[in-house]
Amino acid sequence: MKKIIIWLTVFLITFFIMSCEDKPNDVDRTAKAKFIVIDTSGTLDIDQKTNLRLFKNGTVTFFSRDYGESFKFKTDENGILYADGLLASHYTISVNHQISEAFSVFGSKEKDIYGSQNEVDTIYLRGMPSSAVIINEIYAAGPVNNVYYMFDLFVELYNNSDEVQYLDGNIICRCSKKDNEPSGIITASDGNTYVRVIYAFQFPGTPGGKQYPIQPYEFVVVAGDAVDHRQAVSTSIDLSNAQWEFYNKQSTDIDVPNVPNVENILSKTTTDFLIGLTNDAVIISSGKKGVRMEGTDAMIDLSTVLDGVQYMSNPIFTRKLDGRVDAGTAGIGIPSYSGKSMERVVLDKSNPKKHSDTNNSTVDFGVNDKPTPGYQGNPIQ
Amino acid sequence: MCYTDIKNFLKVIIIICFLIINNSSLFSQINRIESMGNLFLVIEDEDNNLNLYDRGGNSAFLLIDEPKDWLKINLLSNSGNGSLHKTYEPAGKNNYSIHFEALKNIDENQTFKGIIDYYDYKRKDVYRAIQTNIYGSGPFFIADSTTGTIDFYGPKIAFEYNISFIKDLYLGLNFSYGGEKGIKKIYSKPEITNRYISGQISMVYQLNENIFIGAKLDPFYNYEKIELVKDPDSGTDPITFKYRGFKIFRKSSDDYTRHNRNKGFDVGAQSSYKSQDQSLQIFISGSYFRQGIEYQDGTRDIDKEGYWQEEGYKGTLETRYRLDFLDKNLLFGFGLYYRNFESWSKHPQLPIIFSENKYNSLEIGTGFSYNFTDIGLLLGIEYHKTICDSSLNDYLGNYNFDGSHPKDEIRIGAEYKINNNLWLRLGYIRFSNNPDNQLNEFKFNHNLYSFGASYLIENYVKIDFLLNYGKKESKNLTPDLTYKETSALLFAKFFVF
Repeated sequence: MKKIIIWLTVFLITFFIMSCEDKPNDVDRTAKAKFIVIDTSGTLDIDQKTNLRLFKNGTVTFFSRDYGESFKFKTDENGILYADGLLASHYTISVNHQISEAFSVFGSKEKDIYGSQNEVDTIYLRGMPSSAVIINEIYAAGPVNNVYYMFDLFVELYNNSDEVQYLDGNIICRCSKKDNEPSGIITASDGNTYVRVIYAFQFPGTPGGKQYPIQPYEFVVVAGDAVDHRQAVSTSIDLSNAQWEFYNKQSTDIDVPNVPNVENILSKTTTDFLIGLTNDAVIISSGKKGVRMEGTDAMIDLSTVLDGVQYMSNPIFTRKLDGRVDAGTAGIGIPSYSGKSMERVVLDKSNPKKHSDTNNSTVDFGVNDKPTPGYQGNPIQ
Repeated sequence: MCYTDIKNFLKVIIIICFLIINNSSLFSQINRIESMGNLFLVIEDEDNNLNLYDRGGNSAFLLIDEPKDWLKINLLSNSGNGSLHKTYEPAGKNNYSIHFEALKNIDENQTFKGIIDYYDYKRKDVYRAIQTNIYGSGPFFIADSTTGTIDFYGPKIAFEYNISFIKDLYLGLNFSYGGEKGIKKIYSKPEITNRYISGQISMVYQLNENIFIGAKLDPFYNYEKIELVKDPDSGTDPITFKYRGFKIFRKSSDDYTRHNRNKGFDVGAQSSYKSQDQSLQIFISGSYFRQGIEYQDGTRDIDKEGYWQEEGYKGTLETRYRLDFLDKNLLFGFGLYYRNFESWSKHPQLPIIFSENKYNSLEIGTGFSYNFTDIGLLLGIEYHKTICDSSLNDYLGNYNFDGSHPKDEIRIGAEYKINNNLWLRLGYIRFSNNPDNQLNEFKFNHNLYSFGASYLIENYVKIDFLLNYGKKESKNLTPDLTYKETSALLFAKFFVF
């Protein structure tokens, strides 16, 4: 009995000693940071004092992946940004400034911000032609079902301009990333920047050709399989009206006769176009530089990327794309087998045909309770 | 009463206990006082003395407080239903428990008490909340996307040991362990596992015939694990909403495991005084407590999610005075209770505060009882007034308030002695919550009615029956909200060991 008492006494006193931690002095939502934003594309005017192309009176977005919350700040007359009242968090800081209908400057930076940071950090902007063809909707979660059916996926493209565009030779890719790389955007042995891809499915025609037009503000659905999936699972969708179908002749994929194919061009890929239900990244490339192969690694030249979307049900997952293609995340909170899709929103209600395209999917995308192939839904952000 | 009659009587009461759909407030051993409207200040009872054990929970005083051996058995059933409750509280409950408790005086210097308890507690129609405690346990809570019933069940064992090595010096030790499982039967089917470990090291010193002083340390450790996994039937991912205080939340749809590790202690000093003629009793205590909860997420790799700490002071003064100069049957009671708590939460890695919370309250209670000895009737009344102040600064959620929550309570009770073996009791409590306007709280009144009966068999077995009915209602809302609860308790105490 005495032994039990001694052991219990030691046990209880141990807990007594362990139960304390010091109270910090700083409170949240008081973090500060300072940035200077410089254009390297040669587009913005040169500042006479500094001889730099400063991004003056422009909007910079801070996105906290931890909290899914965005903060917007403006640079001052000197191109300096003073951000305060921030949550202590890791931020994706992005600038996307449209110069003209066809050209934007953009830049981004990843940074931990907490407390007061007095040193000035720099965000460099580079130029990029604005793409008229964008990925408007991705449905990959699968319908509500208990047989793991998820073959009713589709990628919906959209001509976000008032001019006819062409899909000839365009490539739709599923992205990838190696464990030791911060993202799937890498510098290859030739010194150029590429996006790693694991699938590449190409429209027919030659890049730059004009055989396969997409009319202004027209939707184009590329289905995994262009069939009525409701016949397999009643909660699924009818994709028999899709304009295009992903097809891989190296797999046992269905080839619906009357629907043209977007075909696999990687010899190593032996499956249909299957993407992660709740976590993946998809890009569309003009196809002008084709696919670069280094061993078995496939890559798409970053300069040919027309649009890209990083989607994740949980924003703490590892990203495949960074701010150079997509500074945000679509599809947060979409569970697998939920029948939900992610779709671009319309930010400017006075111009409902113009879908949001800021290269930040957190801002650009919302969630549909049901997929809307071939038409615009009402996605909730 | 013959043996068969007693048996039949017991059968009837047990059946009533389990059939009456109802329930009451907290489980307590002091059924007599509970059935008289909780007149803890002005009713004298062998389990309601103003001493270091009954009031201070000091195990070192057990030897003095419990001179006889006994065995107690409790069967409790209680239930509640209604719409007047906080957002994440259940819209009803069903609770059944069985409780065994035995005390043995090993010799004149040692006492041992053991407890075994098993319960099944169904929280009905809980909106999204899947933690065991949502309110008052820090700002890091998780929720799912459905409303459903969570069934908590599990055993608890405990013991108390008390020894006197030196004259007038008593040492005490207690330890309890409880295991609990909570299961929500609908998607996302979270499984909640709880382990409760607590103990006490205490001492009491008898200064003289009238005065005792004591001190105790009560450490505890509670561990809660909440698991949400993909539905094996449909392959559907669980949806988890993760909160850090107000407004800010993150949503995920993957397998999810939360670990909450709660450690703390309460250290205090106590003293009691009883006058020579026993007309005056005083109990005074003060304590400091601290607890912290470390919140962690992860099924395989565990990440810190946050930390919450609370600390504060508690002080109690209670006195009972029999007004012999007026009437020996008139007893006056007075109580003063002060609480001052402060809590804060912080970032999992950084030295940054998410939120701070302060709370202090002062409760004053007073009342009297009168024993009409000639007709065997005991009557009592108490009034309690509580004033509170609380404030919250949620820096992360960008939300703050300063609030007050005054409360009033009137308690009335009566006991009628039919003969030397049988007593009947009635009680009534009216509780008024005056809401804080800034917090947009509900104004409500709570009426609790209680009935009790005791039957003593040959001084060997005492059987108690307690029935409570309570109704909480708010008439300032559209529609009017109510919450009703009832409880039945059957209690037997055997003095035969």
